[in-house]
Amino acid sequence: MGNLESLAYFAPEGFLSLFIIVLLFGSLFLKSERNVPALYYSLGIAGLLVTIVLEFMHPPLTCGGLELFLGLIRTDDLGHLFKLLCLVSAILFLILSLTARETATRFHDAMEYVVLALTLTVGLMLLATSNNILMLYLSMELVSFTSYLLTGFVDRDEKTTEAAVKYLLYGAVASGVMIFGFSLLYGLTGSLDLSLIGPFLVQNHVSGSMLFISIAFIMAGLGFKIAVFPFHLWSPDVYEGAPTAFSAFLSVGPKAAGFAILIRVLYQVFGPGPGTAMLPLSHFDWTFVIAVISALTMTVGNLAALPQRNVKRLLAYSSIAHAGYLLMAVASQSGFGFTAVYFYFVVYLIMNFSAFLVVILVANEYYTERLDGYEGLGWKGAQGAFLASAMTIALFSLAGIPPFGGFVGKVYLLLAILKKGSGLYWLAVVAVINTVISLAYYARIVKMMFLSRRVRGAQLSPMTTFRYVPYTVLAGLSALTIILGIYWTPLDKLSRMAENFLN
Amino acid sequence: MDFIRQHILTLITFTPLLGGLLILVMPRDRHALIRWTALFFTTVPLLLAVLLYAGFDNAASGFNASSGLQFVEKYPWIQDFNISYFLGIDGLSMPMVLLCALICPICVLASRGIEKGVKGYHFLFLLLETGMMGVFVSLDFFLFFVFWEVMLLPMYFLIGIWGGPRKEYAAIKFFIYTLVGSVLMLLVIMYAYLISTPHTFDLTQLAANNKILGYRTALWWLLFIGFAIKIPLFPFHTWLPDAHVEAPTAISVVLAGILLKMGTYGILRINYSLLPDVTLSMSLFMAIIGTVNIIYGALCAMAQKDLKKLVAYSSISHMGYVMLGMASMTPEGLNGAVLQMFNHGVVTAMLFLLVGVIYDRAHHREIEGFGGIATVVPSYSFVAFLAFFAALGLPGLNSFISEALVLLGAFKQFPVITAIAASGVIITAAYCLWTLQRVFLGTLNNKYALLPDLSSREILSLAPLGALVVALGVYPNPLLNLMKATLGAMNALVLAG
Repeated sequence: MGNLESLAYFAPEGFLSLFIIVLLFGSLFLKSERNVPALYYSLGIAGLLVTIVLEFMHPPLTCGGLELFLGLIRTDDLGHLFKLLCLVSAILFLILSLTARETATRFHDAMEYVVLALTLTVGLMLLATSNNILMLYLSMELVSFTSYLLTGFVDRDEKTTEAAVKYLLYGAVASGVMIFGFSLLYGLTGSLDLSLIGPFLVQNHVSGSMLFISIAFIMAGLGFKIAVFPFHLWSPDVYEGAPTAFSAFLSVGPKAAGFAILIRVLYQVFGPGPGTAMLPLSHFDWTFVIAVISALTMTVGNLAALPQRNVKRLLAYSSIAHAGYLLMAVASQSGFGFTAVYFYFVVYLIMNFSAFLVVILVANEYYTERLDGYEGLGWKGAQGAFLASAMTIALFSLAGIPPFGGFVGKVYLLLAILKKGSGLYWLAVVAVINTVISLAYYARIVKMMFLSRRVRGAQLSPMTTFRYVPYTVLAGLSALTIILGIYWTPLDKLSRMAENFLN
Repeated sequence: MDFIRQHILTLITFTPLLGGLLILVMPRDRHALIRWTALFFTTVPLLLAVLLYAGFDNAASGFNASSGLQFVEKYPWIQDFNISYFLGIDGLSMPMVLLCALICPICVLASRGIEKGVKGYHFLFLLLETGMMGVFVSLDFFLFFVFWEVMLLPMYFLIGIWGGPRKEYAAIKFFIYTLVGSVLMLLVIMYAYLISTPHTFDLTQLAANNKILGYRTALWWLLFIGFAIKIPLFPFHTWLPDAHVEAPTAISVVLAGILLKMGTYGILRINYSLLPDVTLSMSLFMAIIGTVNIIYGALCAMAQKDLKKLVAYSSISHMGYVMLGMASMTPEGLNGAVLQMFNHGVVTAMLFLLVGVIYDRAHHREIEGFGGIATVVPSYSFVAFLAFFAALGLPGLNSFISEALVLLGAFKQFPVITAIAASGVIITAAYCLWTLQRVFLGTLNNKYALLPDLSSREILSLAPLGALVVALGVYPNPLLNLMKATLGAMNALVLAG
């Protein structure tokens, strides 16, 4: 589709980009005052909400997907769903940022923070829908650079600087490796278009070491983005050093977009994808490779989480483990696999943001992210009991225990892998064993909050009007976690749309 | 009335949860109100269970098949996955529902001593009852699993918050052991779902078409280990003494009285119906492991110095009889096994309550620390003698009948093993009598000369159990008749392979 017709389908991204520019210029005329952060954050949230509305007002897709801007972007249900997910997580990100003391008290550069967050969101939306290697690379760099900036945005301590620099260095190497892999692929096929590369590989029987090298390099770059073993080493440091709200966002939004593009690359280039016949397995049996990476990622993530004493680090390792679980469904090579990935991401967004929100609220009170700061939290009045209960629900849901949404999500992932047939039964066994391992560290936080009779630290400070917003959000997230564990047909219907990708 | 009749199982299962939610919105310092509410919402299921008993058709036979199921409620829940809200009871679950409904109000009575976090405690307890009832009445594999796991969370907190000195260790050990078992079960559930056409979690349909399941031996082991952890069978039993010793009295009662039965219930309900041929070929193994449990549990009990630990190990021993009876694949053995599940629930509940009573007064449970207290607390001693005599299988009390049936049935199949198992009766008698002698008889320890006797609340909680011990010992037919038809069908099913 040509450039001008494409604009109709590009309204959400277009609006958000314009909105960023308006915000940037508008801020020049606003004087800095104490209530300015709240104003900017509200503006940012409003912009995102409008974008979500535009996303829903999408002209109907007549076929499975449309290629926009001469094939740079592919709009389809899969991209649509993941864009919505990124937008919702961006809204929660801003709410969490406004709640956290470290970011909410930055009066002078609140606007930059919001603008960076929105830019990052645009990058995610583009990344999730990229259909062209250059587009993919550019949007990934857009996401990466804004991420580096946001990681180092709040100068908390030397950990922040370390995190930002580490992230930048790792990220630069990873994207360099990835673009090298892409250049090899381009050399082999003569095309940058993902939907053309796959058929070319099949028709011309391309194989050999060069293809494998390029695949390995591309996988390294994508694996870095979604933090899977062995490219996960940056994430605990970055999660620990970054502003907590951004850690929460990093574990959901960019990861979701990363999974969307991983699915696109794997299925479109290496089949079976839209318009592509399944590659003969002698070419590249990526199911097995992804399955092995999945097993290693979840095991390494969970084992490394066990000894952690810092909640953010612990959640970082837990997030690595969850990327491993999600890869299971990617490996299943089925439409149901996409449904499972999306379903799990929605549930993961809810439970992970609610866990991080509690981390923020506790850090606001006690200036600590260490586990022992949570000791006796459940016994500190109604407010403490509420926080501890919400955290418990989120953690047990992350561990995958009914009747919480995380359990249902895990059932989806396991069903996806079991459907694949007996060849991957071992992966399901590895996954359930990992569930048990993960319980050990999730339960340790619960133990700190409820089981420990020692009440450490002062009582929580009394509620103020302003604090009702995050508490309401937290209550909503917890309620959703339970509701999705009991009745999830609506979300199932939504996630099933992801299967259209294969049509 | 019609509504109650049609939805009686739903009401039994969810009334406690309703009460729990009600408690959740009550002010936290209204302790009396909370306790009475909890008692009310556990008594309602008991009354409903009596109704259920009255309306139960003993003659309906058929195991995991629509012919044997009564009070069925079936509604679609998640249609895309063909998960249904499917409740129903047969002769196997009926005694368990009665047991659960009976034990729970007694436990609420026994929880008067809880002073800290009364609101949370009673909320979690009521949630626990919903989970337990749900396991016994659900016939959809997915629903069964959800209830099975729902039970875990309250149990973790109830042991972990209100337990003894090593509560944190005991709670997480219980949690992790049980979770290992349940994730193994989850794999089987999903495998069975995917292999069936059309995909279904319906246990009756899966049982009817059980031949489609592949990897049968592996599936059997996954399920068996999952349930064996719950029973607990040797060598998966190590969580039990910890959990029992650290848990508060009422929770020990629930744990031993009801939760352990879920393991054997699960094996009977699922292993026997989904994999009858493997079950039959494993019967010798099950008989051996049951016998190991009997002897090992009894020997361990004999060695204990802590009264509560002794009762905990005696549970392991008594659950061995259930296994042995199940393994025999004879009508006597199976009836004895299910009867033993019920009887052990009653007797062990009494024993744990009695231990709790003495612990409340003396603040320790060392067997050697007492002596001759029979003269000081005559009513307490009377009930304790009754309970210990029931535990050792004295004729005329309930356990005698079930253990005799088990040994009778098992002897037909495995004479040698049963002979060894029967020697467990002697060890049991030895440790029970020895305990009675050390605690109640002999010279009075002067420290306890002023020990108060049972209070009316304690009598109220012990009397129904004591009455059942005697009544079922003399006339077990009301209970046996409930299960006969279903267990007969089960036996035929397994023997047919």
